[in-house]
Amino acid sequence: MSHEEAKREETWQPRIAAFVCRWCTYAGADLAGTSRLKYPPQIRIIKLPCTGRIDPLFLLRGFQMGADGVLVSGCHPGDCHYIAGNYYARRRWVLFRELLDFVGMDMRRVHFSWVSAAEGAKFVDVVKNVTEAIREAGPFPGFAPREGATIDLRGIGGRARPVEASPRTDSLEAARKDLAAGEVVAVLGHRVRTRTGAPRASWASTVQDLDGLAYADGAGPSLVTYLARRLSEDPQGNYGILAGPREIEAIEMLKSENRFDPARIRVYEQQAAAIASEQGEAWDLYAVPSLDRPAAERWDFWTAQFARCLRCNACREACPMCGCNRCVAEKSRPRWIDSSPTPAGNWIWNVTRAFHHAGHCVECDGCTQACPAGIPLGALNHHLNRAAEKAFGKREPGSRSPLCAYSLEDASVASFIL
Amino acid sequence: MRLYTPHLMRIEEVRDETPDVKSFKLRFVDPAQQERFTFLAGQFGLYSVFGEGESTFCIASPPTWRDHIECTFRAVGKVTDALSKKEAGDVIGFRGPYGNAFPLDSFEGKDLLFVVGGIALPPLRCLIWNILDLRERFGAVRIVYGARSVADLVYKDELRQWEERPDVDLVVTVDPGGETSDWKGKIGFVPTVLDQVAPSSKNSLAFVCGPPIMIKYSMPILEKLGFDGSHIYTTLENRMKCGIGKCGRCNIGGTYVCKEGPVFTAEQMEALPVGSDY
Amino acid sequence: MSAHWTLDDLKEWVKRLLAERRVFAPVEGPDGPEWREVSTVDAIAWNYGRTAISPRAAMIPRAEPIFHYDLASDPPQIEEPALDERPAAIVALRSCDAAGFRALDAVMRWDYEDESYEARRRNTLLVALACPAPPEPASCFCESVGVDPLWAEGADVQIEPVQTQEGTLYRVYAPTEAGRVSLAGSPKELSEGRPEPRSIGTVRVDVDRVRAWMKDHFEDPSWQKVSESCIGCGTCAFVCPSCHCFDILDEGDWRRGERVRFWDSCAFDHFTAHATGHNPRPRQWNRYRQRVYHKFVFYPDKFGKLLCTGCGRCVDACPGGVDLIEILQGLGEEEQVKP
Repeated sequence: MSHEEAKREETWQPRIAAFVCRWCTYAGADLAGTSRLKYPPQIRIIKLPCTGRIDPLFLLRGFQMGADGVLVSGCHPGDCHYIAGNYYARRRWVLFRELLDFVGMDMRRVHFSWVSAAEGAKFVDVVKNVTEAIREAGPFPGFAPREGATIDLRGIGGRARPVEASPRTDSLEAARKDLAAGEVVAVLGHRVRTRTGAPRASWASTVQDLDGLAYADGAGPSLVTYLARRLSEDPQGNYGILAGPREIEAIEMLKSENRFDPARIRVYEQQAAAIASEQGEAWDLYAVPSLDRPAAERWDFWTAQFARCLRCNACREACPMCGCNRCVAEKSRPRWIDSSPTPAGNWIWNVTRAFHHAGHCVECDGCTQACPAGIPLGALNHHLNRAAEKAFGKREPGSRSPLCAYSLEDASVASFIL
Repeated sequence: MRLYTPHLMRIEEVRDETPDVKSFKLRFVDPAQQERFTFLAGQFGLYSVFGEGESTFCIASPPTWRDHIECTFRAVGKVTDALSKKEAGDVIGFRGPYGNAFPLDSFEGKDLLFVVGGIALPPLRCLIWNILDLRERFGAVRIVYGARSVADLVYKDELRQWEERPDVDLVVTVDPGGETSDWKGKIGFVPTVLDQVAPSSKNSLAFVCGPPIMIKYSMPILEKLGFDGSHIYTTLENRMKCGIGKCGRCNIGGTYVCKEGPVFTAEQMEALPVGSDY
Repeated sequence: MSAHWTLDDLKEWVKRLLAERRVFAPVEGPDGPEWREVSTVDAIAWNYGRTAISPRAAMIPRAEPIFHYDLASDPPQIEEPALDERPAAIVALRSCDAAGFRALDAVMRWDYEDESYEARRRNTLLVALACPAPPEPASCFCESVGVDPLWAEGADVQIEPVQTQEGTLYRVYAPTEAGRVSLAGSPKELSEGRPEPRSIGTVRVDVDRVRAWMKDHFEDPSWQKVSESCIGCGTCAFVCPSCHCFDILDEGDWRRGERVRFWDSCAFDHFTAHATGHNPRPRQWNRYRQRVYHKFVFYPDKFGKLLCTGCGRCVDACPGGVDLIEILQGLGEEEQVKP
C-alpha cells in the first residue's frame, strides 16, 4: 500500500525524517538500541557530521520527498565536536522556525533537540513526543495550494507599492573630480529615460556623462546590485556610486562580508527619504496574513502565492545582497531545488531565498518590485529581519550577519529545543 | 514516440579513450528501430541519462555500420559525468539524428585532408570511416591529428589501423612536452605540423575540427596552401536543449547550429559573428 | 436580427462555450488582470486593460512533463503523458496576444511539429476582443509592428465593441470555420468583413528603420549602453506573448521522475553556458542584444514576420527600467551612437 493510500486509510503512520549529528544524537540513538529501549519506528535517521551542517533546505527537501514531520538533533551546547557548529545551528533554527511559522507551517511537524551520546533514554522520549505530535498533525498536505481554498491574494504586489523615485542630485563635485583624475572608471547613478522620464540605473564613464546623472531613492533594483556585478566583472577598476542611506547600508554589510574590496569603491552620499519600511510589522506594510491569523490560513495564502512563482529568479537578480557565485537554486549535482516551476520547488525556493537573507536583507524591496507574478516577497524578509532583531539584537553596521555569528545567550530564545 | 522522447539504447561496450574520454557502442533496445535507423555523417544526437538530463554530441561511427552506433564524449558536466559512470549493459536514451551533414556526394573523386585536434576527432572519425568504407569513390585521404599529450589521443587502436593502411596518410603529433619516452610520432602543434606536411590544395577539400585556438592558427596555413573557404569544412557545437530549432539557444547570429549546422564551410563561418561574443 | 450584441448576449454564448470547452480569460487578480482558466462567465473581466503576463501558458504551460521514467525495470519504463487535446477557448484575447500565438506557430511548426503545442493549438478557439485604447501611460506599440488592435489576425472569433446610444454594444465576426461553428445558433447576427481600421493611439516606432540599422550594427557600442540597467532577471521573456525559448531537464531521482520542459530566458547567464564553462554570451549586454536581434532580425529573416507583437509588457515589467520602445526609437539615432 502506498503512503498516499495509507493516508486515506486508518492505517496511516507518520513518516519522520530525523537529521542527527553523528557524535551525540546518533550515538544516543545507538545507546537506546543497545539498551533495548523501544521507541516508535516511524522515524528514519539520517546521520550527518554536525547540526551546523544541517541546512534547513534538508528539512524542506524531506517534506518534498514524503516526510510528514522532521526532527533535527545534535550535541548539547558546549559539547560540539567542532566547537561551535551547534551554536550556529541554534541561531538558524530560531529564525527558520519564525519563517516556517510565518508562512503557516504546522509547527507540530518541526522539532529540534539536544541529545547526547549518553542520553539513550532521552532519545526515546524525544522520539515518542515528536512522533505523537506529528501523528496529531496528520499527513503533510504537500506544497501545492489546497484544492478549494479560497484565498484573497490581494497582497501589495510589486508594481502597486509606492516608491519615491524623483531623481535629484545633491552634489556631483567629488564624483567629477574622481572621474577627471582617473580615480574611478565610472560612476553609478540614475538617469531618466528619455521617453517616460522614469529613472533607471546608468553609468557615467566621463565627466560629460555625469550630466543628467542623479540619485532616485527606490527606483528599480538597488544601485548596489549593479555595483556588485560590475566589481566582479572587472576585477581591477575602482568605481563610484551615488548612494542614499539604503545603498550605504547595503555597501556596509557587503564590506563586512568581504564581498568586495572597500578600497575599490567611492561613495558619493545623497539625501533620501527616511527608510519607511522599518516601521511596523510585515502585515502592516504588505497585505499578508498576520501571525494572529490561524496557521492554516497563512499556509493557504502563502502556498497560493508561491504557486504563482514563475521561477524567473527576478527576485534574486534584483537583490543587492544575493551574491553567491552559484545560487543553490542552480546547483545540479545534486539538485536541491526543482528548477522547473513545481509547487514544491517554488515553495522551497521562495522560503530558502528569504531565509538566506534573514537579518541580512536591507529591505530595499527590490525583490517585491521585480517579481512579475506580484508575490509580496518583501514581507518574508521584513518579518525575518524583525525576528532576528528581536532574538539577537539590532545588527550594527559592519557587524556580522546574525546567521554568521552566535552568542551563548541565544539559549534564552531557543526554549523550543527539546 | 514524440519529438523530445528518446529511444532506449543499450550500451554494448565501453572503451576508455583517455582518462576522461569514453566511447560507447550503442544498440537500440528495439531491434526494429535499429533496423530503421539511418543518418548521415556529421549529424548529432541527444544522449540522455534518465534522472540527469540530456547532452548533445555527434554520432562518432559512420552510417555504413548498420548494427550499432558509437559516441565519444568527455566527462565535463552533469550529464556526461553520469554517462561516464554507465557500464556495458546499461540503458541510456538517444534521440536524433539531427542537423545537417557533410555533403558526401560532392566529395567524390576529391583528395581529402583532415586537420584534427584532441577530442574533436569523433565527428570526423565518422566521416573518415564513411569514406574508407566507400574507399574507391574518393581520392587521397590525409589526416593530421594532434593532441596535448600521448594520453589525450583518442581512438589509439584505429590510429594504428589507419597508419597501416596504404590508402591513408596519417600524421599524428603531440604538443611539445606531451610526448612519452617511446613516442614515435611527431612533436609539435597541429598548425605547425600542417605547415611542414604542406599538402596540396589541388582538387582537395579540407576538414578542420579542434579547439578554437587550433582552428585559428590552422586557417591561415590552409589559406596559404591555396584552400578556398568553400572547400574547408568544420563542425560546431553549442549548448542545445531541443536539437530541432525550437529551444532558442544555439544560434550564432541568426544561424541555428542545430538545424543549419553543425557542419559549416569556412566561407559560411566567415559570415557568422563567431570569434566575438554572440 | 440585430448585428449588435449586448454583453449579456456575449455572456450567454461564453456560457455555451464553457459547457463544452475549458475557457481561459482575463480575471481580476491580486496584481491587476491576469489570465486564468475560468469556470463561470461572471469571473471574466471584459473591460480589462492588459494582463501583466501574456496568455502564452494556455498553449505552452510554464512547465510540462515530456515523459515519466521509471528505472526499476530493465529496460526502463518511459511513459508519455497523453496529449492535451481537451477543447479550449481563449476568450477576450487582444490582437497583440493573438499575434503572439501566430509567432509561436512558426517556430513550433518549423520543420519538426511540436506535438504538445500542436494538440493544444488545434483544439483551442481564439476569441479576440478589439482593444479600445492603449494602457495609460501608453507603453504598447502594436500598430508599429503590423498588428491591428481592432482585428486579430488568425483569431476564430473577433468581437468589436461599438459605442451606441444604448451604451457599449458589440459586433461579432467569425473569420474561420471553427469560429462560425462555435457561434451557430446565436440569437444575434454575425458581422461580415472586418472593422474599419483606425488608430487607437499606440506608441509609434519606426521598426523598418531600426531593422535596417540593426542589419549591420551587431557590434555597435550602443548595445552596451542601452542595456546597462538590465539585471538579467528574464522577466521580459516570462511576460512576453511570443517568447518561446525553453529548457528541458529531469526532475526526480535515479529511480523515477519526469523529464520536464519549461520556460527559459535568453537573459539568464547560464542559458548558453557550455559544460566546459565557456559562455558565448558572457556579458548581460550580449544577452540583451540577442533578445532584440532574435525578435527583430533573426526570426523575421527566417519566418517573414516579427517576433514582437508590440504588447509592451516587457517595457512595464522590467525592474531595471530597460525600455524597448525607447531603445527601438533611439538606436541608430545620432545621440545614441556616440560611444
